Amino acid sequence: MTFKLLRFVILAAVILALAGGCSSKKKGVESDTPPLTEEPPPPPPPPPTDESGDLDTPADLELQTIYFEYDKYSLKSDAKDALSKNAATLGTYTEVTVVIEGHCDERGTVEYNLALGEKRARAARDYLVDLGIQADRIRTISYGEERPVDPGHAESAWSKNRRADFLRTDQ
Amino acid sequence: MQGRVTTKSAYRLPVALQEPEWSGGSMTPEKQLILADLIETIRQDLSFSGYFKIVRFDSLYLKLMGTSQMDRKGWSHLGAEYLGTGRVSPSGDGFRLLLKLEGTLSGEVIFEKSFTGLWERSRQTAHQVAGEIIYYLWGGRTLIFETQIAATWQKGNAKNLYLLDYDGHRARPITNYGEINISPCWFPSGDRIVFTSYREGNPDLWLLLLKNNSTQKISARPGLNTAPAVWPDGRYIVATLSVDGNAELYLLAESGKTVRRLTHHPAIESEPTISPDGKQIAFTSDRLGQPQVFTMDADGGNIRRLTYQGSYNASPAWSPRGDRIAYVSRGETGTFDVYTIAPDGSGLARLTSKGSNENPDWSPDGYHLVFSSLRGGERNLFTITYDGTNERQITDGGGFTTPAWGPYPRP
Repeated sequence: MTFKLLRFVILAAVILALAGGCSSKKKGVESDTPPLTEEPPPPPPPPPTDESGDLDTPADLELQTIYFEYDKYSLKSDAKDALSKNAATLGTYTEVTVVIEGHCDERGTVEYNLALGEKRARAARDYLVDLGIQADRIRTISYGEERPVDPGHAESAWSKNRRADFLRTDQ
Repeated sequence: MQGRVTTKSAYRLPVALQEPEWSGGSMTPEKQLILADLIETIRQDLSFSGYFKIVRFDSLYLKLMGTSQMDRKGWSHLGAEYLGTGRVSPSGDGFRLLLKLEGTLSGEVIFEKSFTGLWERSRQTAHQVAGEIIYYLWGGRTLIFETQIAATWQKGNAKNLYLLDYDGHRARPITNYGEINISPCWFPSGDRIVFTSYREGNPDLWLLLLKNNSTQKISARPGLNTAPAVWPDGRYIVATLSVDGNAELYLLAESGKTVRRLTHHPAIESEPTISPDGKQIAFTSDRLGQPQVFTMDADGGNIRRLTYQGSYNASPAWSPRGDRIAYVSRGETGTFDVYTIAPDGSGLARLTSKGSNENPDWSPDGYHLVFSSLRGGERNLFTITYDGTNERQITDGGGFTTPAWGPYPRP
């Protein structure tokens, strides 16, 4: 039930956004033919609709980043809340597939952090799977400490860098 | 003989190298710079070796003595026991350095030799000269100045592998893929490196041949393919794979084929390093809740905890002499320092105390280490002697990580 409601809210938001006037996007939605390769960069093809056929996935579907404590891969309560929301979104848009990127802050060794980042990504994936999301829709990868969002050398940066990001792979 | 490093005394032989005279007509400013760099490189090599103290020219001395020229006696007054003087002349496309090394008190000539070199390869000539001086004054041959360090250097978003001279000079790229390329590990032959690259999206293991920088993918299993360590005889690689669901250590052939899985534990196992006799492996595991260094037999049995002091110990590197394991430990202020410990857990020694230091690796003589250090907001490479003295910053500008000290060049 909640998924249905959420769907409706998001659908309304999408309609409003489209009404704002993006003609190329509308065109894309209407056409089912694959874009010709010779053409200049085509607009993103419309995602396939699920069997009920009532809803397209918005291009800017939001999946929340979750954050971790230093050298930990257990899920904090706010991370679980964010994962529940992500699970709801993925439950609504069943054609969406994601890669979960596990990241660490710079304090730790490069190679250990690659393993830690993987533990974080897999903890997030396992939680989503427990909430009913099919495992084959989720891939994981670790970047360790190699891709900080904030290059600073203080806790304000570190707390942002200890994270798992959710990126769509179906687009 | 590979370096005379069995014992180390606090005594450093004071030696001076005078700027050589040029005898070859007109001199370009470029060549003048090269010559100055040549002599300074010899001085730096000697100082790095840990056997020498470089005595520097002091203009005040000339003023006090009322003279305009330094001589043997003058250098002796400044404390030098040996003095190198030279003459440089053009030779073909390059130059010839005639160097005389003599005792400052006795005037005894230790050697008088000529070295030829190319202008664009003057640093190599300097390394040869330094090797000769060490041979004549200490009796041991060393090729340490001709070794290279592989490391990751970040430029923009790309992290590529570079080769640097042992002193950080002449950095030159060996990968050029964009994306992340890290954790180089040398084969004992010195002609190839195994490393982790994200060039195809996943952290995979690649083999790189240095003769033409060609690469070959050797392990692209799902999940991690990281932290490679080459077996001392070059026949195997130990690496971290998570293909079975969790970061574990595996013994691989050079082709990447699995020979044997070494660890079986739901915690993280990574950062393997192999004892030079091939009998043991040290590695990092968080099986006790926090990263600690463990050792095990080469077949994966007999796991023992090595580190007890501190809540985060990682990145072990087994000395090529076999008697020490370097690693990093997180201190109370949150920064990391390089320590060494005997494989039986005795004799803990702290080497660094500035910045935050990671990824130590040993020089082939087991006498020096290279590591990356975050200081002043930049990550650079440093070298240090095994007893914690003689710390030197060898890169500038930051962005340097995961250094690996290569073997001696093959004749």
